[in-house]
Amino acid sequence: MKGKNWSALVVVVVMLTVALSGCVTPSAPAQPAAPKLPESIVIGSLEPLTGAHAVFGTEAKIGTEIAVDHINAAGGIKSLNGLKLKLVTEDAGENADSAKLGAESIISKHHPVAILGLYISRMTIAASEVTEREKVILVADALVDSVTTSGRQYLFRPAPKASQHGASAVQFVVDSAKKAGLDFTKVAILNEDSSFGRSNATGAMDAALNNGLTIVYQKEYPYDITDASSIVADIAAAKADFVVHCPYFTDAILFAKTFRETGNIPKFIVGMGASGYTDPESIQALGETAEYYANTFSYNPAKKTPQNEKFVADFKAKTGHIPTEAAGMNYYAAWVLKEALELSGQMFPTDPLNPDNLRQAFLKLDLTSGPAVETYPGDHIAFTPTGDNPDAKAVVLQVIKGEPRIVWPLEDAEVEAIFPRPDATR
Amino acid sequence: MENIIQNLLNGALMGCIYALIALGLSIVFGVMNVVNFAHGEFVMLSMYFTFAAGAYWVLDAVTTPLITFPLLFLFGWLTYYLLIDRTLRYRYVTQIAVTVGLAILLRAIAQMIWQAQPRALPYSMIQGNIQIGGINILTSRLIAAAVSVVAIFLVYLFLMKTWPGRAIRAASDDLDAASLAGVNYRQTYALSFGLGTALTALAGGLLMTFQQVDPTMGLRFGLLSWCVLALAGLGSVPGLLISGVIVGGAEALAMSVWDPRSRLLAVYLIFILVLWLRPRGLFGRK
Amino acid sequence: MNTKQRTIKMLPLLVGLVVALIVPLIVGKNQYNMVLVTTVLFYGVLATAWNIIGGMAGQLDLAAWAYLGLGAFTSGTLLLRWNVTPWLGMILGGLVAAGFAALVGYPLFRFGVKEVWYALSSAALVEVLRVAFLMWDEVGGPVERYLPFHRASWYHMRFASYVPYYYIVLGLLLIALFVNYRISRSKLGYYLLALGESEDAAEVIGVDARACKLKALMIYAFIVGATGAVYACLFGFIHPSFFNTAQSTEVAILGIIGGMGIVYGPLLAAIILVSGREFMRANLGSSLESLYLAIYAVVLIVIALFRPQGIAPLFRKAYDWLLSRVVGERYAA
Repeated sequence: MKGKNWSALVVVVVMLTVALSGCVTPSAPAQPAAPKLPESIVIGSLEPLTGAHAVFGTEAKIGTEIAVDHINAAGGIKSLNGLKLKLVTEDAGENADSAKLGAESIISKHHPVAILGLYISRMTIAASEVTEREKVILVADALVDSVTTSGRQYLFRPAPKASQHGASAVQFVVDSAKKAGLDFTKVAILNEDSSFGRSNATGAMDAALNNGLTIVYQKEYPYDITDASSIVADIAAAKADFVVHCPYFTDAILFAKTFRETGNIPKFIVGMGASGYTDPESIQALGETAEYYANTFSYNPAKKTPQNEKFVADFKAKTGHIPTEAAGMNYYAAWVLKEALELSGQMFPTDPLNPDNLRQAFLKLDLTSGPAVETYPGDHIAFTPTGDNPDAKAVVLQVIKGEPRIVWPLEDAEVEAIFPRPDATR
Repeated sequence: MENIIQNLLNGALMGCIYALIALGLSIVFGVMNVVNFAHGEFVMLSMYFTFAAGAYWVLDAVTTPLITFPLLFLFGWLTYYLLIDRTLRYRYVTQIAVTVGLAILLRAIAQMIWQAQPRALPYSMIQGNIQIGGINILTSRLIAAAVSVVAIFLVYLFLMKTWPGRAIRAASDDLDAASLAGVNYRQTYALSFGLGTALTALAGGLLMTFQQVDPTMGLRFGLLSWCVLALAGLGSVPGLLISGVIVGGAEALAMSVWDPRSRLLAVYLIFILVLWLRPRGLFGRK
Repeated sequence: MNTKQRTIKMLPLLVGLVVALIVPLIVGKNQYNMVLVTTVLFYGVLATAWNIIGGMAGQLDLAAWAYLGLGAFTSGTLLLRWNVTPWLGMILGGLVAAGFAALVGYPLFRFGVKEVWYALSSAALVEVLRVAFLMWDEVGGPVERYLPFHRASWYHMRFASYVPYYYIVLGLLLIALFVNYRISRSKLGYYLLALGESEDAAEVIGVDARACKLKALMIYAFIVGATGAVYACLFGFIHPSFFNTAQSTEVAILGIIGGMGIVYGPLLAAIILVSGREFMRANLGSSLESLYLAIYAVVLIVIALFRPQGIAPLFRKAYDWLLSRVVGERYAA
């Protein structure tokens, strides 16, 4: 009898109720309007800790953890009687739906005043619908340009956006070629086929055209390719002087090995955006093949300031390598958040943690010194109403003797870039 | 024109590696009739084993199969007794559910052990290139192709000429009849599942000369190896080589002539068309 | 079957419906719980729809998110370009998905692609669509296309709260269950079950296997496509990553684990497995990153190995036992 099938629905219902009662967390009492402060300020780190993007999320989480330790060790939020930060973390998975679920989960469980995350732009935008509704500040470490153009009120991105990376990569090569007295006119632009790769490439193309360069090759490719030799052969056939490449991450290793193996090494190869060629993990994986590769970075691990040296040392002690970009971005983002909390405490002593007040404080930030700036790529932090900092600069790192060194912008350079590549074959 | 030949050659050599990857699957499915949706994850595991062996004993990737081959054989053998053996008398659907579960489990374990970051070995001694005319041949791919040809030939001989090989084929034709005829199907199947898994060690070692590995690597090779198998047809071990070359060549041509993004589009369209028009594959026996 | 017996049989359905209707009143304050139950029901819809092609017709389809993506892109594009309401987009999205299903289903069944090869070709289809939409810059492309943000707009089907989405998805679930139920009682249902058992035997007794399978595939694609339109509104954007092989496989796994061909089975599996997994992710995910996935995988393997018929029969037994205890043997079983 088919009708009997329905009978199990009752069990379903029981299961549903059980599952729910397990998840229901007691909702926090409503925030009193009085200046009574909580025992600590809860901030969240919501990052992709599992799945395809876990490598970035894990680094980002460690960066935030160290920042919170440092902030608390330095006396917490001074304008709020030295209130300490309390960090809660959550896995955002690898999709938009898991990101949204993660955002709901961390907010309903812990009620953080701000969340740092989520590295992947489409996950960030999905989660930002939640933070927007709940009025939680989202300090984003996702670089795609459109993250800040979708009209979010409570979203701030301290890091330089993707198109700035693309433009910086081209400008670096143009500057270096001029300095070396070389005539570089033909550029190949290559990017992985996500919105991140596209944003970077758009910035690079604009910069190339502004500098009067000819784009002889411009393609997008899927990051999960198993063999790069046909793309490398096509770039060689296009006779490009240099290659501007936005890899996803692991494919940078494949490309570097293939450039070397085919013997078609252009006069220069620079990576744009996020990680790629000069990440400590890529350098470790590539060994000597990483030599002379350059890549833009949203964080300057070589910045000679006490705060940055302290961060790099602590990060090294914890993980064994220097901070990656994801870690660095979140370290200074946490400090920017700290400064905003300080300012909110001064501006709105009665209700500093109110999201609208905190948002006002973010917009009023004008930092030129302090731990945030000491670890920041750039020397001025102030946000536009859309949540970007126009003074954020992408720096360029080059692998020299196995170490990533800052080579651009020239005024910040640690060492002079090795330019063009001594092992170039074309 | 020269560029097209260059790309076709690159693709064809890569295709030989695809054939090698599909070889293990062709034993497990083509001969044993076991549906394994975790084959890509087996390749991922073999790449991690290669990395671990290479990093620990400072070996070149290309020599690591000496260590990883027996390890993976053991892994496949255990997997057979723990999981696959119980699924033999159920429908293929159960095998899919079990092996999809296994694939998720292996990915999770890989991330717990090796973390999410990509792992790679230093530049291998077999990497380099040979110039013939305007054509650039990659040594590592050439060696990989040669290894594939030899491995496929040896497996073919094993299945056709040796007693355990014949036992495997007999068992696959009719489980009950083979048991009656004195073939211990369980041992035979464990042996062939172990062999099918162990063969990924060769592919893993060769891939790690120029690739890197991360926990999601299996997704890149799982469906791909089924495509190569479908194109070759069941039961045709040498046909794998030709279908691997076709897949690799189509992929390289699509990337170069059309758009690098169209790589999988070309491969999977061929796959679907072959299923429609020639379900036995190009060289299938049935 | 007398009226009293029928009442007892229908009781669970009524209780389930009432509880499902009041869930938002209990947990509606907590948006995380709301999105969790909505996600669970959402997978329930997909798995229930999958039951038509997978469970009844016995075709192991691994392309759920292909049809979902088509529905999402149809409805999303109509909303973005011409401000067409997603309520209409749902229907049109379902039609596009069903049309596409007919287009690929016809040759598949015509050329007799079956069993594992059917499964693999449907998985390949998801990838083909993903790449095609990634390359099709006018509609897809790598950059996410965001739907307009509204705090509460029924016209745009955009809400800041999940409660309306919950009811929409619940409605879809009821439709999917109803369609399943009707099919299982119709001639088509008997034909499908027959050819799910053995295609050759079914053809001997005069079942037009091809037409039946195609119908099942199109109905399934329509429901999933319509669900896709809601999915796009729920997450606020459309992107080629919607065409996802891993998630498509998961839908089929839910259908298998639930019990193939049993109307409520896939829903049961979705409720237990998806809520269990998300619960573990929330509680284990941030400390031991992949542990919850490992546990989830082990649970899948154990159920598949030791309950190859799925978990639904277990629950039926438990309910019958309960019933016999409460109202006596006469009305049970």
